[in-house]
Amino acid sequence: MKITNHGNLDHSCCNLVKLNNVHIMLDCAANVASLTPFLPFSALQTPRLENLPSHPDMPGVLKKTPGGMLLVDSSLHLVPPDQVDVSLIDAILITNNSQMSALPFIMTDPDFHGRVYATEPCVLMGRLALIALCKYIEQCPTRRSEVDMNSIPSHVHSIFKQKSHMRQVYNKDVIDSCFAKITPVRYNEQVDLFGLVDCVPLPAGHSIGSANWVIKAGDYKISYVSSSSKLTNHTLPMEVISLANPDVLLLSNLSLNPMYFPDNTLSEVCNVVTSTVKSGGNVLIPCHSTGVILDLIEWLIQNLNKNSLSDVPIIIVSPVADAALAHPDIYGEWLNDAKQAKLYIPELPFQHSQLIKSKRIHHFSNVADGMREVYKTPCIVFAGHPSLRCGDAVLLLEKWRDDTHNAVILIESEFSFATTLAPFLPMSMRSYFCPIDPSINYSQASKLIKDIRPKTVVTSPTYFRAPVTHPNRCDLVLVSDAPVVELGVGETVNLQQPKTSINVELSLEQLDQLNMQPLKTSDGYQLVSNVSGMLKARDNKPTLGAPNPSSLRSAMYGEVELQELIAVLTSKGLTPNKVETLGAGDHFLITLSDHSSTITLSPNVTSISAHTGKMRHTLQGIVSSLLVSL
Amino acid sequence: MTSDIKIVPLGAGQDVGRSCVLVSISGKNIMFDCGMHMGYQDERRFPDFSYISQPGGATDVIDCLIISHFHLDHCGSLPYFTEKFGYNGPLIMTAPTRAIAPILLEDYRKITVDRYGETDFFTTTQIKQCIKKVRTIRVHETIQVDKDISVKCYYAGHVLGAGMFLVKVGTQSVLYTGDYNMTPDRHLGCAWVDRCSPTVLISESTYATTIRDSKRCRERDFLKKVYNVVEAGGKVLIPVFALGRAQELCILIEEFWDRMNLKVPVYFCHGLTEKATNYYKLFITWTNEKIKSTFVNRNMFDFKHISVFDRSYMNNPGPMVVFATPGMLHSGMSLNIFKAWCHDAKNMVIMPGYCVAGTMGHKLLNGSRKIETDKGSITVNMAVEYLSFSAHADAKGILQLIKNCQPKNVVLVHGEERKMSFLIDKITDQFQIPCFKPANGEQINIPCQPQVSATMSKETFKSVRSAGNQFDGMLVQKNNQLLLLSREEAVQQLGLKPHTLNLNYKLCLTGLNLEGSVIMERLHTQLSSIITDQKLGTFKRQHDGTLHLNSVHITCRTEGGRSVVHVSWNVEDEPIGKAVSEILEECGEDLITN
Repeated sequence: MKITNHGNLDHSCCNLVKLNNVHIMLDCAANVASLTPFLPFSALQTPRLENLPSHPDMPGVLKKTPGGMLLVDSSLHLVPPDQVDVSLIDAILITNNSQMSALPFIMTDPDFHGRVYATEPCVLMGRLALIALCKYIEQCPTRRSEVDMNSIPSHVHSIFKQKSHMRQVYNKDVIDSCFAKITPVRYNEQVDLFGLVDCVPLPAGHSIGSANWVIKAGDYKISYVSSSSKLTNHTLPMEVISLANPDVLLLSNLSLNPMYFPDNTLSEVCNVVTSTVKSGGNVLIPCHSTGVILDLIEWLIQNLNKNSLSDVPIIIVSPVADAALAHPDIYGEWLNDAKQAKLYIPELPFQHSQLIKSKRIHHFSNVADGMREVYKTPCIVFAGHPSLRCGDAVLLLEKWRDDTHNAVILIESEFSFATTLAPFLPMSMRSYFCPIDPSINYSQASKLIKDIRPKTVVTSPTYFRAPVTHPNRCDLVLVSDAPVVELGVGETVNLQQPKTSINVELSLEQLDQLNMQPLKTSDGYQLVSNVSGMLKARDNKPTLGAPNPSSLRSAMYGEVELQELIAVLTSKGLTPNKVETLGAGDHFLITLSDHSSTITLSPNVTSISAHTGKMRHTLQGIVSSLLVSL
Repeated sequence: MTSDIKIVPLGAGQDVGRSCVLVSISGKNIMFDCGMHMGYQDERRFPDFSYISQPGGATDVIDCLIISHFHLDHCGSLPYFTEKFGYNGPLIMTAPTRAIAPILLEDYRKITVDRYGETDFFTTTQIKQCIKKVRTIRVHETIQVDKDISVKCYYAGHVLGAGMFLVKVGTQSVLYTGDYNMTPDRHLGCAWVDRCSPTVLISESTYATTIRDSKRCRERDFLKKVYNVVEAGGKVLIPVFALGRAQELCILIEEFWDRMNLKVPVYFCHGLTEKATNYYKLFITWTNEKIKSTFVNRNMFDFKHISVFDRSYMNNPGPMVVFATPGMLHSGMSLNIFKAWCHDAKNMVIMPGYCVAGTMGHKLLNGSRKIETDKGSITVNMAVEYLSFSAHADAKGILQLIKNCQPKNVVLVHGEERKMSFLIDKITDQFQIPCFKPANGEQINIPCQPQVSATMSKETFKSVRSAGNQFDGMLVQKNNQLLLLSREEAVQQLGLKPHTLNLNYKLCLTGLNLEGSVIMERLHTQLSSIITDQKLGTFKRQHDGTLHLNSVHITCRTEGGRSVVHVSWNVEDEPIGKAVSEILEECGEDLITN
């Protein structure tokens, strides 16, 4: 068993597992943080950003912010998984919608012939997230100049160290054709790969359709746990029992901001929103249109109602807002018990459809799409893209950045606070970092390891070091009582897979012919039978066909004791005439009374010479009775 | 080592109605469906549960109960079985079935209690209690019921949430189809199953003898008939069940009305319309691709042209189209409307589904044109049309399903005996597999070939595969496990000592004075002509003059001035060695002299 980490960050996963000669890619994420060194743009002009001073190194390409950050004025690029031999991949298993962003790169490779498996909601939500990104890019009024990424010096941003792999973001047609080829699966559905490996997705509790995978080859079991959550949110809770006792626990995507507890940040968001709108300011929450936003809206509404702020409009701006808000309601079977119970009333599982109908929540595909009619200050706007490098969030931030009453709250944890906001600084608008990351943190992960008792844990070495920002927080370190094999970015680990055996079905003809006999062995008596036949395989399920009598051979086993042999011979009236010791003393020559028949004994060879066929047959019978024939 | 799968239909054996099939597989008893019969009002409406046990004892006998879909002939006796008969074990169905079945059960209860004055029937509370015990299953999900039983669900089409269920116990498996449809319709996809090779396939066979023409033709036919009647000022009654076929026909009418810009009112008589629409919206993932992909912009179940029917509209003048429940005209609103309209030849009733024997629908379809009511008999003048819209597989579809899942045996239920016989001929002809049609209460035993497997090490497996797939070794039972070992592995793992047993024979040639090489040459010729058994093989002469065949060696030496022929062989080659030594012993020197 071999695992190679082709991801380029701890949270953009892409591991290639080779198990029983089947190559399985686990997740296929591109590094979205690679969007941050680019100059932000949006559908409408943002003069301040466009007029940032050029950097002398590459005028027209590199711009410098007042804070000193260098930004590349070019079309957006992503960093797909590194050094993958696409032709090897037999299957790709996806854990959740944030881990699919590199699929279009891999799936459009002419060498790719594998199949991709993701849960039904994950396929849809993942597609929406990528389509939102492409739409933002398409909205850009001035097509940006194509800059050769190789010309960007690596001091601009660390991602330019691997710039040769950087790929321009795909378009909607590519996304549609790729996502149509994904095989949707449900929780507890067995995915059979060539009869050699069996994969089952289990609820991970992170977002709708998020899954952990149990991968089995015979008795060998790998539990792949990634982006799992123990939070009480809208989805089915994480299932732990089926993950238990694996040979290998492959653990990834722990909380990116373990010093923040999502329950706390969630209420902090509510507090900031309440105080901001109370003071007459607008709130901008740059975020994805799926995932955490679903829980956040329900919390926020409750909180605003409590504070008598129910007239403040809540506006969701996203090119995929309608689909992103409509779909969670049809995935009732993937939601937590309370929401599932609503299916049987029947009621919609989420509140937001009702709130949209009652005009409490509004949604628009972009700011120019009628938002003017409901817009009033103060208001609360959720808008993309959370990287703040494209989309309506950029536009709104530019518009609101000069007013100290306004607030921007960053909630998506994969984007760092400082870098994401840097192009907009300095600004009067207040900014808050409230990452709502439902993923399990280090102590939850440590407990998980205790609970599921893996023989080996394979995970990132960074999880065993406290974050650079909090070097003394030993609670922010993963603890494992099981042996750990560290797997860093770009590394490969080889794990000893215990001798696996193959199940062979015995054909009926074979069963008929079996003659199980007790045999004395080093472990006591065991039932043993001779078997021969042709191995046939269908769907990798081997069967031992009918025995072929001509090929059924037997051999003798055991040792002939001299005294025992003499005793038997004597009892049959064949008392030896002479017994000579030969060689080193463990060879004997027995001559029988007819003077011409002899038996030569040695520890592993007995030789019979007889004058007549009858005599030989008798002696053969006597010697055979002291041996086992199989 | 053999164990039979036993199957007893308590209902739906050579019949349609009260589906309930008991299957005993590897010591586990599974009940598929728990239906009621629409043709009866007496105790025959429910399966005969006393076959299983005394009341209260069913939980000990039945290990798992699976409901295939929400139609009453598949779930109508469920609250009776769980709440009154006392079954308390695992109960599995899909989420849409769980949502919709209680509504139909409540309807059924109301009609039975209110209309027929039944007093000892299950109650609303009991329906709720029963549904609480349900464990839901998703399409393609495998549920482990206990350590031996696993259940997998496949999509069946037919109605929203209909499933086919594969139950595995050990190495044996049964696929129960419930009702299914192999062609997609306006709102549902078609049934799909992988090549799961169940030991037994239990299939419905409602349309066992029918090969239906294309869906499009039937739809056009239906719309033409409706259109002609309303154009002539007549009224059209379409008896349906509240959920299922009704939605498909509504979509059809809705599109047609839109296209033709028709103003004739269309009604849906049941108060369920809105609730039904809500269920369809919540369970859109169970509908077909088209509805799934367009629902964000337009919910197909929000109808513009169809409004809710009120009793008072019944006697309104002018044309109208009314969808009314129940579908077999056996009671309720559809029967009332029918009675009101049937005298007028301008009107038409279209029966879009199957009708169970004993119902008004069945009588009409069989040509009966006089009906008895409490106010005497009425003559039916209205046109009676039958259009097969109910989403069952036809003969072609059933054969297709068999081809897809590759069962070892087929059992037909949920159909008419005569039609089943026809289909059985087709199945045995096409697939050469045993096929059965048990009657209610009749037990059939399906002999099962035991499946025994043994483990083989990867290394041995590889070397066998590379050596032409011929395996020669041993089967060992060790710690309740069967191991297939190569001879080398057996020697190592069992601590065996290989022992060679050699046998020797010698013939002294006293009267001959020939060169050794000549003797060997003559011997070779003689042996080759005498031993003609191909299985034994032929001797090869080596450079040194000796003869070899496997471990059998023949040499000629000079001992004490005489030539002596030595034959030696390993006991494994006893047949050859014995043959050679016998020839030499019998013929002696003559063999070489001649």
